[in-house]
Amino acid sequence: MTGASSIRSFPPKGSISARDLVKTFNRGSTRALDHLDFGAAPGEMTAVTGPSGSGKSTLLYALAGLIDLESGSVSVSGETPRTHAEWTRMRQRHIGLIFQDDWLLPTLTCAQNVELPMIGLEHNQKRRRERVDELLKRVNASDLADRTPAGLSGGERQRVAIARSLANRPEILLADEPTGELDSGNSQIVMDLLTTLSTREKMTIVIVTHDPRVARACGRHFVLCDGKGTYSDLSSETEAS
Amino acid sequence: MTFSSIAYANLRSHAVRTLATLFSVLLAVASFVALIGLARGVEQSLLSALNQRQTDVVITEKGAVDLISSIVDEDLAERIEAFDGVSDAAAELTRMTSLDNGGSAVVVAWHPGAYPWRALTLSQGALPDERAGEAAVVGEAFANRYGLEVGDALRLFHTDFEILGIADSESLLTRNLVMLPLATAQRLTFREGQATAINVRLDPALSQAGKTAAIERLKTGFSEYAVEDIQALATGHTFARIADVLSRSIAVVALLSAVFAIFNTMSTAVRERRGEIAIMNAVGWSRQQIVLLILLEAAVLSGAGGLLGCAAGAGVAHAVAGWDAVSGIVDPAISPRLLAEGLLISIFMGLAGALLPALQTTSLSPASVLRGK
Ligand SMILES: Nc1ncnc2c1ncn2[C@@H]1O[C@H](COP(=O)(O)OP(=O)(O)OP(=O)(O)O)[C@@H](O)[C@H]1O
Ligand SMILES: [Mg+2]
Repeated sequence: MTGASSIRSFPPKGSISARDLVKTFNRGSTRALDHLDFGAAPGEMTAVTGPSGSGKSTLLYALAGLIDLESGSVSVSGETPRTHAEWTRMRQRHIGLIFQDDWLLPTLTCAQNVELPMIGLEHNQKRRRERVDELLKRVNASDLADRTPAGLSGGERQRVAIARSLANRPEILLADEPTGELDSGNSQIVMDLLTTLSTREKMTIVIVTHDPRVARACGRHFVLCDGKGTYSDLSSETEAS
Repeated sequence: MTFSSIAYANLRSHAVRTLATLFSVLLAVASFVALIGLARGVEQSLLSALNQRQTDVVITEKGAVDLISSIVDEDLAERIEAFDGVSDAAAELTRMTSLDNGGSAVVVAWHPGAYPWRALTLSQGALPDERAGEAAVVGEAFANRYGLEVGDALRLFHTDFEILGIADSESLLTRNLVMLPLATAQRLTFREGQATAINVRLDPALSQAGKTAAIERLKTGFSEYAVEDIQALATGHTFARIADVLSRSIAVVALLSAVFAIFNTMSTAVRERRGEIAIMNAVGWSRQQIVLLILLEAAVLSGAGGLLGCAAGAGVAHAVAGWDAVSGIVDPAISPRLLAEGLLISIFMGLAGALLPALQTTSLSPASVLRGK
């Protein structure tokens, strides 16, 4: 493990960094994030690991502006959103989110679920539909377009959720245990997809995971413990093991 | 996919709940339309009957709570007829009486030859003359309802009347009237020399302004009586006012209960869909967009309920107006304006009921919902 400084300077587009994040729960008795710094350069794929309750999900939600912090700031592509409205706009245009549960809307078809983030941004229906087709093809789910999520397998649903996260061409993808509910075959498919996005499209990807195989697929490794984090150079670690 | 197709999909996915709420909006709007329509119909039918009779002004006992309980001296008619600007005046005695067959009848009586008789259009038979005693002219609807024809007998006030003529009219009230010679009616109801009202026809040659001035002169000249033009009579009448107040209060209760039903449905929907709302926020929907979606759902729901409620209300009002107990008195006035009001109110109710639940969505913390099911 290298104790390298976690603050580096990046070219803005596609970078994401956090400074001095503090988030407590239960009236301050639980410190989920304890003056934490984090950064990822454009195109980098970072695995966030650590014991259960160490603050991994909290960090990810902080990076997406989904929780109110006690202190600290997050910069995304060079901007530092503060208000709910600024964060919403940021998530709409620059950040894609994937969760352990797919959170597909049960009343909509898979195609409509993928289209959901585009409403309010792309007003041309035809272009939206073309984009949906393209995305579903990309995650190998074209045949699911008109089906509702109810009858789908976990792997199929997660693929559709990934397509949804890519809808507005974000530069940054944040994933909280994206393979947590999947068997090893489906995990592999999802990880191959994410790796391709990182290498071919230079997307910045942060993955919270418990799975060593998922962590191994990432170039960088951020380990959390009790709300504090350190980087470790994963490539040397993996080769050693 | 659009905003409204998402709203529609959400409503459809809980079909039973949606239908139940839609039904409560339907009931509320239907009662609003039916009650207000019937109440206005009471006014309308009186107004059109007086219009048909060519009556401009009605003079009654000051302070009488309704037309039937008013008592004035029949000789008042002569004094009024002599008044400047008045063309005719006719003493009128109005009673409501029950029939042997359990039905009821509105009976009006004038002296044979008085102008309200002349304003009638007979489809059969003749009008009573000076010597007529137990003779009656009935409205066509009344005749049809009881299967009466000219020459038949009609029992009223424990006396057999002979039907002399059958009158047709544009006015529903007139079509349902029983019309008698005044003297006979006075004798049988122990009201010799009395009338309930004096019907006044102003000089038809007068301009509108001239008529208004003549009415003002009548008011000052006969200040010990209630002198009312027919518009004021129809709306200001105690009966009409009671109908109005009653119908309004019942309608308000129904409408409020529908607002509550929508509130209940939408807060349940918002609670159930916390995850969906959180994910929409996570993928970049603004809080305003989410609030709008919830409001749109409520508006679609209540608008559909309102449309069906308008149709149901109009149907109910017409059905009620056909009941024996009220037929001939109430002609439901379901105007396009009333229907538009019903629809607008329903949409407003939807928005009012959904506002709080919609605003609740903005206080949800997406992270705590999305971290795991
Ligand atoms: N909404 C909340 N209310 C109360 N406590 C919370 C909340 N969210 C997180 N915590 C607490 O904050 C700490 C960090 O939680 P977090 O979910 O970030 O951990 P994690 O590393 O993702 O754990 P896991 O691997 O189990 O998912 C834990 O002690 C957790 O109980
Ligand atoms: Mg977690």
